[in-house]
Order: sequence, then structure tokens, then C-alpha cells
Amino acid sequence: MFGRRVVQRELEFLETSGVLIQPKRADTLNRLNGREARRAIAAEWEVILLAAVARRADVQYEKPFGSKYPDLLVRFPVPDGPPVEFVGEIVSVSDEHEKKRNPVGYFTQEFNRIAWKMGHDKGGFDIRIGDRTVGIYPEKRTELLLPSKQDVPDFLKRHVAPFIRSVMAHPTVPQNFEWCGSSEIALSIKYDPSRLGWNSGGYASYSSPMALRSNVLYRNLDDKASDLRKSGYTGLKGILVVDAGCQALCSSD
Amino acid sequence: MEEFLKRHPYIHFVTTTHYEYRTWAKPHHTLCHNVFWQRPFDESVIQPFYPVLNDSLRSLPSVKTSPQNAQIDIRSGEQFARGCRHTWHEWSPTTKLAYSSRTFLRLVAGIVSHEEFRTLFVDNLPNRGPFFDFFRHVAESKAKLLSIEVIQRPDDDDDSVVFKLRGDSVTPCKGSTLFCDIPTATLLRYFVCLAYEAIMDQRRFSIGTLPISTQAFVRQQMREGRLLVGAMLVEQGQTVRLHFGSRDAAISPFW
Repeated sequence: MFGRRVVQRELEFLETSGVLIQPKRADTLNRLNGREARRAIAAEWEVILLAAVARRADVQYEKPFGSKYPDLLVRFPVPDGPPVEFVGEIVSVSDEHEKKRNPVGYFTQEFNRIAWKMGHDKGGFDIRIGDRTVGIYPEKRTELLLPSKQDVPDFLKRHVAPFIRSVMAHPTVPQNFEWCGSSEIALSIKYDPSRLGWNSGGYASYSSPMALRSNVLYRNLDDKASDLRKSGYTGLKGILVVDAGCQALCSSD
Repeated sequence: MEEFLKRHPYIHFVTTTHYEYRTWAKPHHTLCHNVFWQRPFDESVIQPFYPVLNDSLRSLPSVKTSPQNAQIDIRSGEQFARGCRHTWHEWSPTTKLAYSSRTFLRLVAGIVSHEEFRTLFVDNLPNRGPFFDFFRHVAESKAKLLSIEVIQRPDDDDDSVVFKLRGDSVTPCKGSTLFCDIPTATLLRYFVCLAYEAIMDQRRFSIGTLPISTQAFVRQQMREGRLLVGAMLVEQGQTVRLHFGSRDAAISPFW
């Protein structure tokens, strides 16, 4: 997310200022250089935030409190008063779990791949995916009606490939595909020869939170709050939430 | 958030920082911050505390990409390529060209594929873009290169290499023990050749006409994670000297 040189500079600052010392530094480096995207982004945020706070206050990183290691213990002087101190947890939140549950990106990618492999690379398709609202107020969520990720290739080969074949046989004729099997899937594909050159589509936003507590932001906050409580620290406690690709954060305004 | 704070009274505050891409006026990536305090508000806590929190969050460096794209880049191993400003330029035709230093280095190293070379074309500008227009002008006017320098951009993952045909001479560059020399005429001939090939619409380009030893040296530096830190004309302008710095996180893993 941030410039790589900037992250490196902040890492060096944290090392020289004694905030990030071995073996925690090595662990941070492993996460930053790893291929596990969520961990790498979380590590990047930690470095950037730690450095920003450490330039303004004394920071101790992962100081043990009981069995817990809150990310930050911050202490800074206040004119005309005793120094202020707080512990904080940094939590990066992403919709990755929701994406896994609603594999719409994978579905369209596989659709394009199969169409291309069958020799149709001209587009002209409009893919609409149905959805439903599950749960009872106030704990509702939107769920796309798609096959599970592991079933997507098989579903496309069995049910959608014959439609693509038919489109290829009659490329000048508009055609429709409407799924009429299980109600767990709702899918319609339109082929329009006047729209050749690209594909289009639409689906409901499944990551916008509809539930007060059953959402990724609340769950992460709840976990961190529980850690802070278990730390036994009696002073000020706070949570710093950062964006690793989370729709709920944009709508928390 | 209110629900969370209500259910967790022992948490005194929550800050959120989220990414936004703003498209109005000048499109840019930005971060938006919010602070949520536990109720009832305790001024004695907020007052000393808020300035530090506010200053820290406001001082965060600028973001270069969305978290979603950053994740895609990491998964696909493209996180190093993302920082290259590819066709970035500042250009005063017939006088000065500032160009992406990493693109310049890839051209010198001869590691630009034919397809990548085509992506350097800016078709709505004369002669397929500033790079080609500048060197075509050099060839046609028989202009002499007055200076070459590297302007470092520590907040970006790419620098600028600046060629000047007129104007003030530049201050001497930061030297390093790692450098290579290329005869100015050879380098210019190479770029002029690319400029003519760019406007001729041919399928293949002569990327790779610089001396093999020069290309090998530049490739070796890039493999070791080094980028240009300086460039200068030496021997009365007969030779271009390219200086390489120490390991650079822009193109190498963090350390």
C-alpha cells in the first residue's frame, strides 16, 4: 500500500529508535517479505503506524502484560500534568473471509478463461448474479447465490459451457442463459452481439455490513478488546483499526 | 462502532483509518481517519491525548495503491513492479526530458520485451511520446547533450533521470564506487534508433544494441537490488557515467 522505500525507512527508524528489536524485527520482516498478502499488509500498517506514533511519544512494542502482548504501550509528556499512557492494539481488517464465501471474482475469471479456451474471446456477455439476505434483524447479511469456490469450474463446464458453445455456433443471435436448477444458485447470462468487445455484469454488495455484530469489523474489534481486557492493564486502552480492504470501514463514518 | 463501545466500556477509544480513492479535482489515493471515544466523553482524557493521536494519524505517509490491489500485487509477486512509474515524464520539447529512472534503466539493460516497449508509446503526443520525440529531435538537430542527472524521490519507488540540451549545467552527482561508462554517442544512437523504430510501426525493436558488457553490468546491479543514484557526463561530454547506490527496497525485499 505504501511506497516500499518509505516502509524500509520506517523500519530503519524503528530499529534505531529501539522500538523494534530482535527477534520481533525478524518476525516483522518475515511477514513483510512473505507471499501471504494479508499478513504482509498488516505488517506494513504496523510499521507505518508504530513509526508515526514513535516520532511523537515513547513507544514500547509488544510489551508483555500478563499472558498478552498488546502492540503498543505509549507514553508521552503533557505540559502541566503527569505523563499520559495508554496501551493499544493495531488491527487490520479485510473482507477476505467474505470474498471466500462469495467467490464472484473467481467465478467471472473462470468464466472468461473457459470462454477464451473454447475460442470465444470477443466478450458480449452480461452476467447477473442473484443474492439473498440471510439472518434475522439486526444480524442480517447478504449472500450471493453462487456455487462454492471448489464447485465453480465444474458448474461452468457442465452448465455454462454448452451456452457458450451455442453462442459460438450462432454469434450474430442474442441469447440468454437462465439457471433453473437449485435455488442455492441464481444466475443469468445474456449474450448480445451488439456489445462485443467487453463483458459486463452485476451483483449485490455482499461486504457492506447489514448486521450490528456479525460483521468483520465488529468481530476483529471484539477479539482485540478481549485481548486488552485479559492483559490486565488498568489505564487507557484503545484499538487502532486500519484498512486492509474492508468495506465496513468506509461505511463506519 | 457505537454498539461496540457500548458493549465494551473498558475500551476508551477506537480509531479507524480507511483508504479512499478520490476522483474529483485531481484523482489521488488518500487515507481517512476517525476517532470514536467511549461515552460519556471524558474531557480530561481527550484533551491531552487527542493532539498526539491526531498528529500521528495525519503524519502517515501517502498511500500508493488500494489495499485490494496491494494484496493482488503481493500474491502475484508484482509488488516490485508497482513502484515503477513507467511512462512518467516531464518534458520541454527541444530542451529537457525527465523520465522514469527505472524505465530508463530497463531500456539500457535491454530487458524490455517488445510488448513492454509498445506500452511506452503515448499515441496522442508527437512521435509516440516525449522519450522518442526528444531523441528524434537530438538526431535531427544534431544537438549536443549538455547534461544528464538523476533526481532522487525518496518517497516514491522510482526516480527521475533528466537529460538537458540547454540551460544551466547541473551540480556534480553523488558518486559511488559502482558505476559504468557508456560512450555518449552510443547511448544517443541507441535511443535515436528506438525513437525511429517507434514511429515506423514495426513489430520488433532493436532493444539490445548497447555493448553487452554494459547491459550485463546494469542487469547485475538490478539483480542485486540497486538503482541509479547519479548520472553525469565525463570526458568533456564524451561519456555518460551511471552511478549505482546501495540496496534499494524499491526493487529488493525488505531487510
